Amino acid sequence: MTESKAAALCGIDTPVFQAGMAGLAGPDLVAAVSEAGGLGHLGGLRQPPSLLRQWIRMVRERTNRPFGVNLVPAYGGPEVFEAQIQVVLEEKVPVLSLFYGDFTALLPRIRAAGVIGMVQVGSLAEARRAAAAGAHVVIAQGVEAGGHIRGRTPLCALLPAVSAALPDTPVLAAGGIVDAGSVRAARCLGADGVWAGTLFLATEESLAHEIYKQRLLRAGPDDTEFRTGYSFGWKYGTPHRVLPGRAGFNPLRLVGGGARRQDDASMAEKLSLYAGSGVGRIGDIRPARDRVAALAAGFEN
Amino acid sequence: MQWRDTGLGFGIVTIILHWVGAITVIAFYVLDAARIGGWQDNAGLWAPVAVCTAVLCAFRLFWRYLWYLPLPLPGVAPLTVMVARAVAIALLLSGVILPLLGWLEFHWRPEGMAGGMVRLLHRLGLLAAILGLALHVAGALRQQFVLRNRALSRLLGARVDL
Ligand SMILES: Cc1cc2nc3c(=O)[nH]c(=O)nc-3n(C[C@H](O)[C@H](O)[C@H](O)COP(=O)(O)O)c2cc1C
Repeated sequence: MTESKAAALCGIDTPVFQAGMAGLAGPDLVAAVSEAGGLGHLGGLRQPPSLLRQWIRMVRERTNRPFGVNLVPAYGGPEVFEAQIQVVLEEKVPVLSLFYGDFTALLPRIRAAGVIGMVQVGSLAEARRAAAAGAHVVIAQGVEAGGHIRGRTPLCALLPAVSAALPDTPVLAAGGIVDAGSVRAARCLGADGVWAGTLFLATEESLAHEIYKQRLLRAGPDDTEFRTGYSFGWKYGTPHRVLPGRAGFNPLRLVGGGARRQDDASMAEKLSLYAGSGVGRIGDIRPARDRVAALAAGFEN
Repeated sequence: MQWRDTGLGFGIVTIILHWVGAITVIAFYVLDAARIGGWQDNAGLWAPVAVCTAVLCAFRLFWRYLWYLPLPLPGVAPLTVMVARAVAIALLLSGVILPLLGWLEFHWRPEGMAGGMVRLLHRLGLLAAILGLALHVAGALRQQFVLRNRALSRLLGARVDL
């Protein structure tokens, strides 16, 4: 196993990080990933503060290992975001990952509270800003990523640039990481660890609707689309990557989103669902621990 | 209580405007329908109520645009949230557009093709707005009695912890 600064910092066995995915990465998935030696992140975006607290406690009932919460300020406004941060600090969550915002004022506060702060970035300039503000770990997100996308640069261009510019900050690779091969490629480009979303949707524990999971399995390597239109709960025009919804008369095809277990089956069929460009290499639904093991194999020397 | 809206709850301005607006809009629909139907000559009352409706709805649209909307309550499906928000905005827009159409029809009194268009749009708009209001009220009743959440209490000023 190679040395990983990020894994050492977070106190985990292998630098496999499951991306926080709004409403889809719940306590079962997070606990399973952390139990397997990686680091799970609760998808805190759109979770009202009281529900977020409940989820954190549910993770603690399932595992004693470190885990994280992922927050995005783009939804609900500064008061909701602050209330969520308060929950994370009060519950002493070990790791907080952040996305889509300016965190220069927040990162020193997180550091002072003893929480490990990770920021997902889409450009070299943003990576520099995050590191300068005190991020412990930077996640370089390539345009291959599923869900919302911060920049327009492919991972193979962004990752080496960020790793070279920030020699003292561990950098994780995000976007299209689905197997040991993609982990090895990311390591060659300077990754200290990996951050994967779509792969962990296709697990028994994820809260994705069964139809969503089946659509992931059916998808080929050419099936995802980069879009800048409408996505549920986000500002119009925010870039995102999806598997387009059913053709024919289907206005929901124009909407990007994620379908959860409790959502309507027809919505899971019609919506354009978030997925990364590595989706074509995901062939089955597995327990999350198998996913961690598969990615961890990419860190074997 | 806070005066502006945040993601955690409605402010006093929105709460007052919502209920005052509700009474005004309903009064306007009744007066407008009566005037279109020629049931009574209510021009003296129609004009001030129409002005109040348009001003209130325009201000509410502006206020809504200024601040974040409170988070939906847990357990409400995303599609329901999208439809409910679209209906709410359409109702506010109709509160601005219908008085204008009414003013055009009753005071400007265009002739010919333009007059026909204005009269048609006015009637269809009013019908759509009444149906939208019915949907809005049905949604509120559903939250109260089927989902049994505190959406209505929140709009009456109760503090609902999210
Ligand atoms: C369904 C889905 C939901 C996502 N939600 C979030 C989120 O709430 N917060 C976040 O920081 N990133 C989110 N992302 C993006 C991930 O952090 C990450 O960049 C992406 O999953 C990496 O690409 P991959 O899906 O190909 O592994 C989401 C991704 C997906 C697929």
